[in-house]
Amino acid sequence: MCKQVAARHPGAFDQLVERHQACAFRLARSVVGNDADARDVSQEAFIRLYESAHRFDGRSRFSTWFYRIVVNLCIDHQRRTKWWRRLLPLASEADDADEARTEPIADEPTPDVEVMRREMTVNLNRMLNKLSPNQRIAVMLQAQEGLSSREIAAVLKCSESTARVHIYRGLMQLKKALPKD
Amino acid sequence: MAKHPLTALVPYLQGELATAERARVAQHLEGCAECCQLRDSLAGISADLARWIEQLPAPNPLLYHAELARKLALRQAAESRFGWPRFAWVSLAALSASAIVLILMFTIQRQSRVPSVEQLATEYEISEAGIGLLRDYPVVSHLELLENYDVIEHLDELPETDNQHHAAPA
Repeated sequence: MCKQVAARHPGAFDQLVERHQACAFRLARSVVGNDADARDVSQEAFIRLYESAHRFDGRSRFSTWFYRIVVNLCIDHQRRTKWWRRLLPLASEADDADEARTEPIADEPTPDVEVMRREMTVNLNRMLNKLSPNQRIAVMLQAQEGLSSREIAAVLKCSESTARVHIYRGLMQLKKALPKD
Repeated sequence: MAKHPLTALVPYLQGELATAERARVAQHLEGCAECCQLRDSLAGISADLARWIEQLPAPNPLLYHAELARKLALRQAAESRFGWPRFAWVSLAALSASAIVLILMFTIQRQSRVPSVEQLATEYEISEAGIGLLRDYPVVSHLELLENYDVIEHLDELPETDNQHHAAPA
């Protein structure tokens, strides 16, 4: 598929976006912390993918390569906005609350389900925010994508044993925050 | 008992361990209730997390795709306009810096060429004083002759040259 994107086959890029957009968005969302930035970062990742698809050599899994792009962009984004978040630490939370009310979602659930979903989202975000960025990325990639610790190590550019530590510590932190049932 | 293989439990659950390591972890789990409990707990958290992530709101695919297509088109348009879009700003900044340096160099050079008011006044005084020796280089180049008293004594007898009128002070 990536080769087809590199060869500019009509529709190949659209298919790739369709397949990975939700995962890329959620991964970015877990790092950057709000929907608007997550959308921008994940879309930028797809643009980078379109521009550099010819560089993918197929030695690793496509998802590993693509998530590396997403993670790099997230880290760049965090670095750029660090000074702003230091100045206005509450601004992003308020923005998120507004966005959560207005952001369109994929399907249209009933109001009860919607309330539960929002509650879970808030809880999950709160829990994930307690983790370090590397732990967050490791846990997300493990749970969402089922990436192995070796693949997560490739995305995070660390050793496999370090990636295992990130996954373990991340899950243990989440265990503390999760309800017992 | 061997050290608890805490960080190997998730890879063990995922089935990604090599045979030897997998056997070692399995052997440890047989004799360690604590690690068995932790393994089950980690499996539960991981599954819960995967379910929760699935339920996270995602942007509307159509809107997301349309916005992405618009951004990509803009990027490509910028690429065709500037040729090298990622470095467009860098190139622009480098060009501006070069222009500023050139302007500064030109200004400094011009300033060094223009004499100051004091310099002009001094030069004017000299020219008004009519110090011919400074203007008449042939005389200046033979100043060492003035050390010879014989020559000094017979200066009047030196043949007259075209520049003679410059040599005499006013």
